Amino acid sequence: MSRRSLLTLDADCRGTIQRVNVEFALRERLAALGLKPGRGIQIVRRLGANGPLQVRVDHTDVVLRAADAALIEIANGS
Amino acid sequence: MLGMPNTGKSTLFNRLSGVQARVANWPGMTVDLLRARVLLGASMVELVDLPGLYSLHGMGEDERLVRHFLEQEPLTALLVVVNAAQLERQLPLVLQLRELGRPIVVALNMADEVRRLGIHIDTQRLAQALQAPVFLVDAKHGLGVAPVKEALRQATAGAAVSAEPAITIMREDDRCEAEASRIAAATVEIPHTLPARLTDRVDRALLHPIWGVPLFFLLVFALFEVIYGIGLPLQDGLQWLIDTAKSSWVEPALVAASPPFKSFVLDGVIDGVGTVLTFLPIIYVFFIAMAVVEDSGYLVRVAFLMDRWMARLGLDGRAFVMQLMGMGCNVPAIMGTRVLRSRRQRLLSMLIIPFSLCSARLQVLVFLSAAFFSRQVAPVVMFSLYAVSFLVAFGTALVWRRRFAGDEPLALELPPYRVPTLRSLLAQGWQSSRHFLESAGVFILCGVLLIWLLTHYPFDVAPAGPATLAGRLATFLAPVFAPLGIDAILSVALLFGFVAKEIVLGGLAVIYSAGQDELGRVLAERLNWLQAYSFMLFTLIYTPCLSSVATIWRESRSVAFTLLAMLWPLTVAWLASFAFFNVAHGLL
Repeated sequence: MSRRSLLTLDADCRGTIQRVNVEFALRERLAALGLKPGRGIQIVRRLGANGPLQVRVDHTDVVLRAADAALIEIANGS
Repeated sequence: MLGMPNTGKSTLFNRLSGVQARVANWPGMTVDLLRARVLLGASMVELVDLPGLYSLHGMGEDERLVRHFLEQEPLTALLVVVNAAQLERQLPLVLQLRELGRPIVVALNMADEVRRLGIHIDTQRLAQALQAPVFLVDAKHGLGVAPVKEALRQATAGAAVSAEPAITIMREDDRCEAEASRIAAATVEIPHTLPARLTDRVDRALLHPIWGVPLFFLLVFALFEVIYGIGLPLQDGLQWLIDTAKSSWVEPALVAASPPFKSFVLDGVIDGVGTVLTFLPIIYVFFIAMAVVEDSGYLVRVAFLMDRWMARLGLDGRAFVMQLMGMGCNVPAIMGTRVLRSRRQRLLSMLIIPFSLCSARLQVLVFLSAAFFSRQVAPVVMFSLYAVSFLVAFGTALVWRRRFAGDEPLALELPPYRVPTLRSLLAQGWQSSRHFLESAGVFILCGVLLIWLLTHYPFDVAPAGPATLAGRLATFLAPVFAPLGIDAILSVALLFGFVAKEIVLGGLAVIYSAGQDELGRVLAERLNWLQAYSFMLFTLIYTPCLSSVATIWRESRSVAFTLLAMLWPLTVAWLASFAFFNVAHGLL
């Protein structure tokens, strides 16, 4: 099981969140939205190479910036 | 009443309160909270709609505000609203709130979506686990609201209002999480494959990497057409009604009155009230349209779509929507910045909206460009003014970005699309209109009366003439305006324009004692085109109209910011006109 950034996940593939390395306030908000270690995650769409992404965790869709997504570590499969 | 964002909290609030809600400002808080008196059984209680929050310990502005409220205000019971389709994720908040030690009632909202998703929730077991009454509610369609009311009655009947504030010392989030997972596992049944959601299909078009943005512009354009296609004729109609009432009833009634009193009533009070009233249709229609965009879930998607570009200005796509809407009328667009949750972003947005070339300024600028420029050149002049409007707005955002840029990272929840109900739309339009009347109305009326006094006192000289207070003020200010090619007479018209930009023309007509038909000819005789364009630039950019200023003050609750919003455009206007007039003068 290799760890990599959420950004490298292909659309429609699923991964499992390992670590969320963003600053405290954002980590808290993401956790409340369901983005926390152990959860399965999937990229729904991206707007351009450096644009924001839409990810899906459980039944919640969340939008975040590419710079923040780069700091989320995932493992393949869920 | 508490809950996470996108739980339909406001809808349930409206259901419980009718449309009796009042926007109230609480001491020490910068945000308005909706509150309503609700009759529960035999007693009247006050229900307060707190901003959506994700966690009691969050660092966001809304979370801080809720904590502050819970610490300061005495309360009897908490109504916790939960999006039933996301029960597992939202339960930790319910558990946190239970720890506050007040009776709680849990409303699992969006029962319709739960059904559509094929989720089953065992409310009885959930109620046992939470030791609190739990109800499935469909607030949008008004189903299941009565049992919530009854439970609230029972919860508030026994308990007296505790003056002792609820204290939030709970730090056992992990325990809450674990308990939430356990409860959710025991009470929620989720089908393995969710039914294909319509939302996904709509999103495939509206959030398309290439077509998403053009579609957004198309939708904004359509929205603009609808709002102002309906709103502006209504505004004109209301203006006509007021003018008719003025000339056929009030004027004859005042025949015997002394001229100053007559002028005070006709040109001061009635015009002031008229200015306030004529904004109402546009605000009402605007907010219904904005409610559709917001409640449907599209507005969040706009922020997503436009984030790449607007982030550089310290704003997001929602601010861009307001900027475009400001081209109809600045006032509702400024009120519309409420959709931005970060106060700093709101302020920045409020600072740039008044540069939108609104319909009132359009009227003045079209008239002047027709008076001074040939039919071929006039459209180019108008285009240049639109370009200046955008340049100044975005330039302002760049200049003030550091001071006001939102410090909130982008982490937005994309809710599924929802179809708003007519009832909630009408309620929102009504609420905003009343809010405008109650808050900005008096301010605008006073402003109009002040300008009336300046342009009419002393009463024995010609209105707006050099002997009036305004005339003397203009003479005093002449050194400021002379370098722009704007003479003292014209600057009095700008004083009129402070009340409402379209009055600039009326002001000019009074000053030159010419009818509107001759006005163009008279002006063309007295001014050259350089002076005219300089005057147009100034009219476009300078201090927002009184109604905009009143709205900015009301929405920002800051005198300092309101002053900035008046003085900054004034400075920019002076610099732009000065640069144009002198450079052009030097070149020609």
